[in-house]
Amino acid sequence: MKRWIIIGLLGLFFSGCVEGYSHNDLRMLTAYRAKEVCSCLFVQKQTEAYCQAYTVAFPNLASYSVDFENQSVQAEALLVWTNTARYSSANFGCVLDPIP
Amino acid sequence: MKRPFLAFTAVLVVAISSRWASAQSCPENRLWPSEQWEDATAEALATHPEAIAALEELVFTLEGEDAERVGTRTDSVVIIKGGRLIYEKYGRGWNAEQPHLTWSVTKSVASALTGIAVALDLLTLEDSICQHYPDLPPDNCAVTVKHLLEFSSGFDWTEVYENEANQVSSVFAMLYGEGREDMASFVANHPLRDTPGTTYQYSTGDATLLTGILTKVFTEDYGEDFAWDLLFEPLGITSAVLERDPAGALIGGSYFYATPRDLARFGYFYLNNGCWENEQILPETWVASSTSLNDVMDGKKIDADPDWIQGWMWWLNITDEAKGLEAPWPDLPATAFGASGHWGQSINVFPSLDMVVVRTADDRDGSFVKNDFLKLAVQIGEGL
Repeated sequence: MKRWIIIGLLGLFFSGCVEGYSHNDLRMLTAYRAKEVCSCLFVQKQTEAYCQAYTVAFPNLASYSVDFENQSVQAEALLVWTNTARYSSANFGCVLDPIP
Repeated sequence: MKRPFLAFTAVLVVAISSRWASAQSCPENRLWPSEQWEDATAEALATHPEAIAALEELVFTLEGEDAERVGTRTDSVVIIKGGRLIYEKYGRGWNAEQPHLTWSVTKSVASALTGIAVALDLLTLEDSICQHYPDLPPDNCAVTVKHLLEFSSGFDWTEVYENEANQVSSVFAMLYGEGREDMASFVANHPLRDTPGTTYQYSTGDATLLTGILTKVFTEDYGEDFAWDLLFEPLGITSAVLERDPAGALIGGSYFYATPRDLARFGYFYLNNGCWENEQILPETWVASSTSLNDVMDGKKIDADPDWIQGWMWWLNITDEAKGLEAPWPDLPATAFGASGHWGQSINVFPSLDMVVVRTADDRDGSFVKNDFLKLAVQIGEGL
């Protein structure tokens, strides 16, 4: 129960109380993580451990999963915000899917 | 993709070369890495063991645990002297085959592509952004291609990264937020804060709008692989990746990847005034203008230090007290210039020393001093 209260408070905090552009931190951080893990693995050809460490950002609330068969990465934060990036080609690397 | 385009590329190179024939000045008797860089690393090690040891202690000594992200975290150093590879080392799990993200080094690539577009009469420096992105706010039509090249668009832009609140960053909004589906349009629709052409503000948005325009003007005649056909492949760069947004526009502020040896080719290309194998791929005048003070460097600046000195998306090493300019690498020649990217990526070119120095890295705490690194790097080239 306590966990959900903390998650709810964090979600409120990061969902728009900061003045600025319209996408809140967690939406952007899931996009950041999906895109940069995708490029790190499939463009830079780095290891999973390297790419995990390379893409840690603050607040560190965006987890991700990799679909190696389809060369895509989905990141998620607090079960609410998700973003997916996928490898497109040798020249053009990775690109984020349309905004959910 | 590569072979069918070789003949096509050759025709284009000839087309650009003939247009700029009067400006040709390809240096003679140069050594070119047609296949690979000639390896002179053993000779350099025998000649300058102390300088090499000092350089490695400075940039390849790791501090703390990897997760702490402290200190100098070098992924590669490649040094070229006289067209020969005199030093090469990789760190932190990297090797010569892996393309490395260069972040804002990409802007210097965007500058080169702009020069090719101008040479092919695909656009002019005076083009309004509205010629390529119609339906913008009328005031924004005063922004030109040249303003984008010199970071003087005047857009109300906030160039901050991960150390600031993410939501106020125009860069984050463009790359990962509301602007990401059509980044160039997102930039071009920002309100103006300053009159275009009057104020310098380093901007990933300006560079990204520029490559949005380039994608439009090149693609119709040269196809989506124009950057490879016109620039990378003529230089023998085989590892280049340049990512694009869902609208299909190259993201010219941030997402160029290449191996360190290929990054050195790009530097060597500028060292040779836009020539490669005696072909003038980029007009010499473009290279000269790109690496000279741009027109807004002595005017108003926003969020810039005195050592932020630029040409057209290249960093310069000039000191000019009257203009408030302090060379960023005071121990290196004033003619040095470079491409520079987030977290320690760099290509530095030293025309007077006939040298190119490349470094890739993941420096996160700002402690790395490029001047000290470059000073040791050029010592390795002495007498070779």
